[in-house]
Amino acid sequence: MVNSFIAWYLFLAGMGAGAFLISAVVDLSLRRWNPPWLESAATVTDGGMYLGPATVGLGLVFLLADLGYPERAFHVFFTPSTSLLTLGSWAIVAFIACSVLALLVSGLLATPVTERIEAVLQALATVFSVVVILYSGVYLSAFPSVPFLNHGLVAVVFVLSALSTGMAMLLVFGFVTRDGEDVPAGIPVCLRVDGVLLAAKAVALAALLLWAHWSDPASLSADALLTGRWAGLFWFGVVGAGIAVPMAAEAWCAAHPRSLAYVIGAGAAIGGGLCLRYAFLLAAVRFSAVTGGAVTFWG
Amino acid sequence: MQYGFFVDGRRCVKCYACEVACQQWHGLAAATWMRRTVFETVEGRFPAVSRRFASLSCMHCEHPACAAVCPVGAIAKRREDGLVVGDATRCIGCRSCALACPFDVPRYRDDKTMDKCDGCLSLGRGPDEEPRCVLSCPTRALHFGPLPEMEAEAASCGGARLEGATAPAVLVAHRPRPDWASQAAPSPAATDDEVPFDGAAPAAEN
Repeated sequence: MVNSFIAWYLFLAGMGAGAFLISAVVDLSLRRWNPPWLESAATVTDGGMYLGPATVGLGLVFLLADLGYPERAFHVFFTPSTSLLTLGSWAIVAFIACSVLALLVSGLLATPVTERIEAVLQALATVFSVVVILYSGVYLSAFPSVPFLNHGLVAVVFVLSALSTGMAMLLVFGFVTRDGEDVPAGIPVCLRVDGVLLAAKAVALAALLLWAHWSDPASLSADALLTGRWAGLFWFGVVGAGIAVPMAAEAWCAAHPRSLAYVIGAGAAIGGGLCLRYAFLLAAVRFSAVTGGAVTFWG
Repeated sequence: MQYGFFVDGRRCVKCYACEVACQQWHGLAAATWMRRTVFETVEGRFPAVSRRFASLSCMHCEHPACAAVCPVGAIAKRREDGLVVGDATRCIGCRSCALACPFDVPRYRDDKTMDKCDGCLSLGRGPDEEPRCVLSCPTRALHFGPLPEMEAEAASCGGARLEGATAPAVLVAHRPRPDWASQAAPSPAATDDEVPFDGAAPAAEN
């Protein structure tokens, strides 16, 4: 049912759309007012404008590779359907189209007309990036036959993970594009925002697992993550790399403002985001209403 | 008019004729996948053993979850008989239908499209004919026809329609459990491919 292609798609689409959304929110805010802290943050987040669509585009390749007949995928756009997959497909394509067009228009000669067109395209891309982020979380939670994933908190965890991995990608971008050994001015602001996202993700994850632990049959998945077969992946990958290391790095950087340790935390957060998708898909159990027993979900 | 199946478990002897007929008529290679499966419930311990059988396939639900999630319209519910049929030439192999089906019916074929029971329509079955599984049943345990007729037949022998929010168009009757069976422990002889089937499926929420 699901496999590594799906795990990588969920990870890349979430991270790319998350990075773009952060970047676009900062950019659109700067059109209204320009406090110094927001201007400094923009030096780091601006990378999301092209890293976002590129990463979502890569995720789209994984999504197509998962299909039995990728060459028939265009049928999705010519078939009237209200399915979630149709909505998600339109959102991904519209997001990539609008964000790339906004970049192209921004490269043209700056006139009032091109600036207006760019703003409209960017606003549309921002809306579609929200749908892409939601879609990557909501799709898997839509199937009652997979009780562990069939809960609204799964979507919340995936959305927060998309934003935190997106921010992590922007922090790595800030590190790579920094001027010499100096810490870019926008990094501390981004680290504070990331800290809030990581804390929220930790709370949502704990709430989900608490619910699942006490809910039969979702408890099978929760126990597999907490103490069972996938405990190593969960504790070292999802919690350790995805939450603890980035938070520790951010605390270190708060105490040592010239430290570049944030990039270690950002790298770990990206790895943790991938581990989260794998852990959820591997631990999820699908049930058949005929037998009441477990049937294949992964593989 | 919704058509459906009535599975009379009182008459089923687990001969697998329905499975084999389905496999052969539809050209499904052995040890690949099946459109119809005979499920078994085993209760008690020797010599007090109770076995119940039910031959099940696609439920041809009144509100099929598989068709609702298909993004390319490769699964559709027919107006004339309510059967839920797939179109392999349109299928993109996204497996959404398999995830959505509460009864784990659609199967991913070697050609990377989904496969499920079509009521033998692909074999040219006429409106007044029965599917091959029904025709091949030597004990007349399988029935197919308009749902009201199936409901009447099932009601006459204590059968009931399978439960679920998708409204499966399948009814099942079982031979009554012996008194001791409700207290007896499940037999260790039950295997993965002889999974317990208790007559009425747990309610699916979608």
